[in-house]
Amino acid sequence: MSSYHYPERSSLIRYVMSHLIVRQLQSVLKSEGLPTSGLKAPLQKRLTTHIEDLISKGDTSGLERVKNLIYRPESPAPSRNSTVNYNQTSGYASPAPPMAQTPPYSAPGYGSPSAALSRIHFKESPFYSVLVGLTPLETCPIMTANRHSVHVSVVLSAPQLQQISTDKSYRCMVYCAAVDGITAYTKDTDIAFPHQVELRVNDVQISGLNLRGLKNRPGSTRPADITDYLNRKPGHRNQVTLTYALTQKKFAFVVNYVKTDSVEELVERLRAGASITKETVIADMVRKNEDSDLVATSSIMSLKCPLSTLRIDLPIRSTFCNHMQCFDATSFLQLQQQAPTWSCPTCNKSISWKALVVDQYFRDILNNTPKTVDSVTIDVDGAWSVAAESSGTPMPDTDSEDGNGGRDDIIEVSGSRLSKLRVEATPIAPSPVATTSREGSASVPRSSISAKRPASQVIDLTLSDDEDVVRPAKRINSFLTPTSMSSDGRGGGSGSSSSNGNGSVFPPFDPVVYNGNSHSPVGTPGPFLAGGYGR
Amino acid sequence: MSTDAPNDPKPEETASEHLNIKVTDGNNEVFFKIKRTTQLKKLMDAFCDRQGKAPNSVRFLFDGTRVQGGDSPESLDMQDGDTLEVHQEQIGGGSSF
Repeated sequence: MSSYHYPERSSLIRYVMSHLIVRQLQSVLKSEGLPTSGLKAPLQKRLTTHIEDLISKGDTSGLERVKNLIYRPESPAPSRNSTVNYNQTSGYASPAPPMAQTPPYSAPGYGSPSAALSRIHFKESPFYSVLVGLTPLETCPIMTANRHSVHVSVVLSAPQLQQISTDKSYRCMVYCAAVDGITAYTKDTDIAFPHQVELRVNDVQISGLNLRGLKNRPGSTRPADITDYLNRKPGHRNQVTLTYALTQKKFAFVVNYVKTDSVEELVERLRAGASITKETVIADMVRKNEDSDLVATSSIMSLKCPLSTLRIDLPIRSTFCNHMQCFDATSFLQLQQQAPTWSCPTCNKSISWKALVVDQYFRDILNNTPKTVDSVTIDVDGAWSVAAESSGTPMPDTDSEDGNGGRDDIIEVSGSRLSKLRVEATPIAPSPVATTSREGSASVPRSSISAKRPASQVIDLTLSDDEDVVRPAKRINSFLTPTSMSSDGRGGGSGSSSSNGNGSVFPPFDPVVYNGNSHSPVGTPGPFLAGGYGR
Repeated sequence: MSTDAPNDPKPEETASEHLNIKVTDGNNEVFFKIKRTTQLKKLMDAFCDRQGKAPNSVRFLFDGTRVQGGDSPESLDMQDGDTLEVHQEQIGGGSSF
């Protein structure tokens, strides 16, 4: 094994000693996980020792890797681009022959030998995996003043036609990118179409496509799906025309045969995939709290997705995020499918599909709380409990000392409204709901929010009787003074209809029960689009 | 009351060496225990770090006025249990001079 590499050893080391500059040495060493400090001589020494080491160990794959790095130190991961034309990277042409022996990786072939740029490595998207290129890469020259059309013809093979017609997840898509400054090695090229562009298939203009993506967000453009416009006759040459004008850059496009993955499939893949364990999350939390000047005692974490504001189903975040807040896999991926910005909804860091993981700690909380709980209190040591005020949104306005006067006001309002509900609801709605939520309103002012929901039932009913409305409101007020509670609450205030409420209302208030009852109708407000596209 | 009187050996004075401050952005809340003299920059950075926000993307308000990094609970006369509100920082919209 080592004998195979032996002949190359001297040339390799000679190349290291004579050709590589410090920066290249450093990048090779860094890729190999070795220290990059020091002057040129120690760097060279370190690298040659490493090579000798690999040779003596007979580590063929390691040697191959190092060799690739040395001969092409610009691109850190050479495995994808091994079919490389060395004349393009200036200066490293001479050592190409040893590389040429390595078997070329079978890149999905759209080889057009004439073009200098034979392929573009587009940024990978989990939604689309390119199976094969249907056309060569076609360049669109710069047109600063005129319009111009570039034609390609797409011929689908019989099996592809069969697949397309039976399985909707196989599509034909136009990928386009600005190619100035792009070589065959440039990775993760963003999809971008010329600003003024039309796409036609068989002289039918494709409408309803967003070829621009989001403003000022490069990379948020999707490939253009032309499947439905293709003629599905076997052997038919579909003519795809890209008409554009007023470009400042050179563009190039290609039609790819693509397998798409739905959001649901991706969510399932995430569910089965990598995860952050509970222990990691807790250890991270403890570590953050080591500063003695400033101790976080507890925090309230929302269980709602920041995108959809619904309760999270599958909590994910990226491995780069250092916050605990997760977001919902389905909501996030749906957004990314529409506009692939791939940034964290919480911290705006750019996150790749591969970095998305399930947070087991968060998932554990979700699994062990009722569906109606939408926030929990987290202690320093990672223990969590259902927050006492876990409903609604804890807005800053519910704070501080002077709340007493304000609270009374709020109670009057919500109380009267609720008592309306309760009085008239007795024939219709189950009274326990009304009574418990009214009870909640006495201690938690914001339950007036939840009280609004049943209020829609109230509207038509208030027409029935005015007195019923007024009287219970008075009664509620009297309840607020503890002394009057026993006498007044039972006898005087209530007339006919509300007596059943009184008995059950005032026994001790249980926040959890209250949450459960009052929140079940609130659970699905569904402001998803508003929340999602706002950002 | 916030004049530091270290000579005064009252027990409540030592107890109030640390303050419990609630920091909330309307969605999530974090309770911090902080020394009276610690700069609030530290608290703000800690909160941003936990919530994954960029420190310059939010503003912290105490009693409606903006909290600067150099402020301390002492200089703002904060009490135990006080709340800092976190709001989205925004630019524009002000009157032009």
